Amino acid sequence: MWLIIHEFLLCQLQPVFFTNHLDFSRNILMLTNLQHALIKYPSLQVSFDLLYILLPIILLISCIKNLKVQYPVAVVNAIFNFVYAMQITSMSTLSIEGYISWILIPLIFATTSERAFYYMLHLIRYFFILIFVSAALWKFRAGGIFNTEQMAGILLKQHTGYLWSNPDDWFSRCIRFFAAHPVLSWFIYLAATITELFFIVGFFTKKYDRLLIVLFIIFLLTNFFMMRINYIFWFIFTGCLWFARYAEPVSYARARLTNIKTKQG
Amino acid sequence: MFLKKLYQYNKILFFVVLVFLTGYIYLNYKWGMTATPIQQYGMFSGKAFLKDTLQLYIVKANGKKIEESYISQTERDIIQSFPDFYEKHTQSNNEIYNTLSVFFNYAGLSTEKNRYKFVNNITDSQFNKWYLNKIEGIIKEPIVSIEAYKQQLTWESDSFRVIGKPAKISFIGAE
Repeated sequence: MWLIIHEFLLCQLQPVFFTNHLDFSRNILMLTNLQHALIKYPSLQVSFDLLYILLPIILLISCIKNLKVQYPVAVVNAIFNFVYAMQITSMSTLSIEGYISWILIPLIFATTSERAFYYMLHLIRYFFILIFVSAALWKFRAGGIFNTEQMAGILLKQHTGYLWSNPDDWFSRCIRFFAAHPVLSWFIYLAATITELFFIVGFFTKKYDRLLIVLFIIFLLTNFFMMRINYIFWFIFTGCLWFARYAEPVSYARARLTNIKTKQG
Repeated sequence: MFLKKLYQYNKILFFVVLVFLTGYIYLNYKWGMTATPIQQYGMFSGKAFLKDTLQLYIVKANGKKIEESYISQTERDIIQSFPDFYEKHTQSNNEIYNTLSVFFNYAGLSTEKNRYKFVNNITDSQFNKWYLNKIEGIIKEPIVSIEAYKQQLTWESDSFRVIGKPAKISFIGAE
């Protein structure tokens, strides 16, 4: 819905050019010349948009109805989301990071048993945690965390056009306040880094997963308010944190063995 | 430990995860290239300062400056990012192709036929037409006249200080 409202579907954007990124997967895909075909043929743009919207719906129906096509639909959905994300992020201002959730989440449903589902869900959960931990580590590596002007500098860069256009409205006054108090702003940056780093506990225990969900929602809202960046696409990852509390389903063979032992006992 | 359990459950999946993790660590350590789904989540980690030189695109449509505080962030991105992307696309696309041609060479894919796939076939006039269409969508009225400028700024005691004169964008204008 967010993409449709902001006219970020391919058929709404009607792209006329693309920009490449130093991404190996993207460049392999570009060898197919799909990017030129999408720019040239509006009907292909519409087909891509329709598939992008319909595939998750088909996947949802096949999961609810427990259909045999669930596995192939999930695989196709993940692959197609990857292709779509590669194309739309080459042709718009959207970034690939936001689409990662839509590429990976369908893989959880590309399973044929409860145990496989359990392992895929946990793998995606670990991946989500890895995103946050590596984001924190990058702030140390690139030096942002050691710079007390960091947050003030970021805010000015992020909202240059807004501040220039209307320097006296309430939001501009907020940004100007943070620019005038760089150390205070830096504490927000520090808090965000500590929050990201805190996700590391998720590697060792699932005990704090609910807290991680709360922290993620705070992170999401703060980013939206201060940076005007929408990470709502990542919200679906919280499902992995929520459902990871359930124990591993035992295999049929193990369950049978336990049953026999109980009977013998 | 989860990895141990995973190894016992499915050895192939375990090795896929191991390769993925190795790739994640390697690409993040190398700092540069990514390979989706492996990304570098280093957004806003590079140092930013109050005195940094900032770049601003100013668009005047039908004699009025588009006030960015009255439009959405995505619309602001259209004004600020697309002219910048367009201005740089030829150079950046070529640079990326040249960097990756090392890998393409190994597979015999670095040919002239493939190079054109990484280059846009677009003229300034085509971009202008498309951009005007987008601006019309933002201001909700047909464009009679349009001018765009690139201005450099810096932050100084609670306001912006203009650096130099605004540079007119040659590829944006009313047809």
